[in-house]
Amino acid sequence: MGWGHLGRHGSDSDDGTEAGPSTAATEPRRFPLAAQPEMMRAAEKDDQYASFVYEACRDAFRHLFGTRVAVAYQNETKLLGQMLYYVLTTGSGQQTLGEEYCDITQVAGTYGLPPTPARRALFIVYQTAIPYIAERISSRIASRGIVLADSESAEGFGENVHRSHGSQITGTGPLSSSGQSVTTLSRLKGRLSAFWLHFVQRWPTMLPFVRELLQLAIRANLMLFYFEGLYYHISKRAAGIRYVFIGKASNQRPRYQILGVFLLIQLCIIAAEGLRRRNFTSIAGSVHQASFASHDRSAEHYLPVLNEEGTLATPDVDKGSWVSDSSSSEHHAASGVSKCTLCLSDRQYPTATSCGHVFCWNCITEWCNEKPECPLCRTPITHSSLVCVYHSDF
Amino acid sequence: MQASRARLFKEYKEVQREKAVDPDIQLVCDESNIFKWTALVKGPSETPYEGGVFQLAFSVPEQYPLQPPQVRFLTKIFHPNVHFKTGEICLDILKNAWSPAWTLQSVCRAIIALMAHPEPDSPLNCDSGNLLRSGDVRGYQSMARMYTRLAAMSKKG
Ligand SMILES: [Zn+2]
Ligand SMILES: [Zn+2]
Repeated sequence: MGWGHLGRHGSDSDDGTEAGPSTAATEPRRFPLAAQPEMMRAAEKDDQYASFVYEACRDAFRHLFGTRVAVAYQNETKLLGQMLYYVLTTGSGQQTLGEEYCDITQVAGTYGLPPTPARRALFIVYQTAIPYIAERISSRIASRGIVLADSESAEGFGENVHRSHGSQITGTGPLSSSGQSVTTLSRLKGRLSAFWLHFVQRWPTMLPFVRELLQLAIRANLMLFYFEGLYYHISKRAAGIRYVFIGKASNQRPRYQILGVFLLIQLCIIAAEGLRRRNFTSIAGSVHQASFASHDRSAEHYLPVLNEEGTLATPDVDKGSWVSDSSSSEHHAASGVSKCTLCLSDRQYPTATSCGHVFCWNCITEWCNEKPECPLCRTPITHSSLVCVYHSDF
Repeated sequence: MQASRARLFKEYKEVQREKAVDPDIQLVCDESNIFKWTALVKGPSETPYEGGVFQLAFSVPEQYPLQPPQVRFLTKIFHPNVHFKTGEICLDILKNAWSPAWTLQSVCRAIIALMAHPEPDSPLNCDSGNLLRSGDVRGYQSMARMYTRLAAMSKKG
C-alpha cells in the first residue's frame, strides 16, 4: 500500500503484505500510518475515559438501586460503561477521545477507508462483550466443575443434595443414546457429552493454565505490534482496524522494535521451558498450589484440615474453639503443615502480627489494607508491625 | 477474585466434611455459582424458633473474605434483628465487625446464636423490638412461635 513510502517510518512489511498496485496514483494523498507511541497513548487515554464512564455508571447504579445491587452487578456495569464509551465514539463513526488527543483515526481494508459500521460494531463486541462473556462462561463452568468433582468424592451426607445435579448432568448421556436407535450418531453424542463432562470437571484445574495461555497470546500480540506497528489490541487485530496519523507531520517518532525483540526473546524462553517440562498434567497440578507440592498433593485428597488449629500460638481462639475439637477428631489434625485462617490453605510466607497470630503474608496485608486489626483477636495492627517469619520453620 | 474462589472451594470441602458433625446447619453451594449459597438452620432449642427450619441465602462478594457475605433469611421470621419483609439481618459481624477469619459455616452459627439472643436495641423489626423492650417477653415469644409454625414448619407437614 502506498502510505508505506510516504510515512517514512511505515515499515517494509506493510508493502509486502498489501501491495496494492492500483493505488500508486493516489499515493501522495495518503496519510502516514500512526506511530506506535501515538496508538499506545490513545489506548491509554481511552482506557481512562472508559473507566470514567464506568465509574459514572456505577455511581448511578448505586444511587438508583443501592450498594448491594451495584456490587452484585459490578461486571455488568463495567460492560455497560465500556460499551457506552465505545458505541458513542467509535460506534457513531467518530474518533474516540484518546484518538482525537493523538491525532490518529481508524482505517480498515486495503484502501485505507474509514471502517464500515459493521466492522466497527465487530470491534466493539470484541473489545467489550467477548471478554465479559468468556469470563462469565468460564466461571460458570468452573463452579459447576467444582460441584461435580465434589459430588463424586462426597460420601454419605452430601449425596442427597448433590446427587441431584450430578445425575442431572450425567443423565444427558444415557438419555440421548437410548432415545435414538444405537447409531453411530448417538454413540458420538454420548461420547461428546462424556467428554463435555470430563472437560467441565477438569476446567477448575485447567483455568490457571488457560489464563496463562491467554497472557501469552496478549504478549505475542504486543510483540507483533512492536514489530509491525499496526494493531495494539487483539480486538483491533481481529476486526482489522488500523490507524493513520492525521495531524501535522513532525519530528521523527521512535519505533519500538527493540522492545519487540526483547518480548520475542522472553516468549521463546517461555516456550522452550514449556517444551522442556512438557508434562502438562503436572503443570495443571502445580499451578493449583504453588507451594510445596508433596504436602498439598496429599492434603488435597483427604479434604484439608481447616481453621484455627493452624495458628498454633493462639491462646484466645474464642470463636474458633468449636471448630478445633471437631477437626481434630479426624486424620492427623496438625500434621506439621499449618493452615492460614484467612485463605484456609497452607501458609505462604508466614507473617506474624504483634499479637502473635500468624497468617500468609498476602492474606494479612490485604486485610490490613481493609482494616488494621487482627482478624482473630481484633488487636490493632499496622503494616509496619507485620513480621514475615522467614527464619523459622512454621 | 481468584482468592475468593479458592477460599470458597476450601470452605465447600470443609462443609462437606463437617456436615455430620453439626446437624443443625446444612450449607449448600449453588450448583452453577460458587458465590451463591443457601443454608438451612434449625431454630435453637428453648427458643420460640425451636422446631423450625430456616432458610438463609448467602451472596458472597468477589472481595470475600475481605468483605463479608450478604446473608438474609428466605424464611419469614419474627425477630427483632431481622427485617420482616426482606429478611435482612442486623448483625455486627456481617457489617463493620466482619473479620476474614469467619467462614460461611461460622456465620451460620452466629446467626443461630442471634436467634437465641435477640438484640432489641438495634431492631430491624420494630414490632418485635418494641415487644421485647417493653418487657413483653411472652408476647414476643408467642408471635415468634406463631410465625415459626406458619413459615418454618409448614414444609415438613
Ligand atoms: Zn492465607
Ligand atoms: Zn491476633
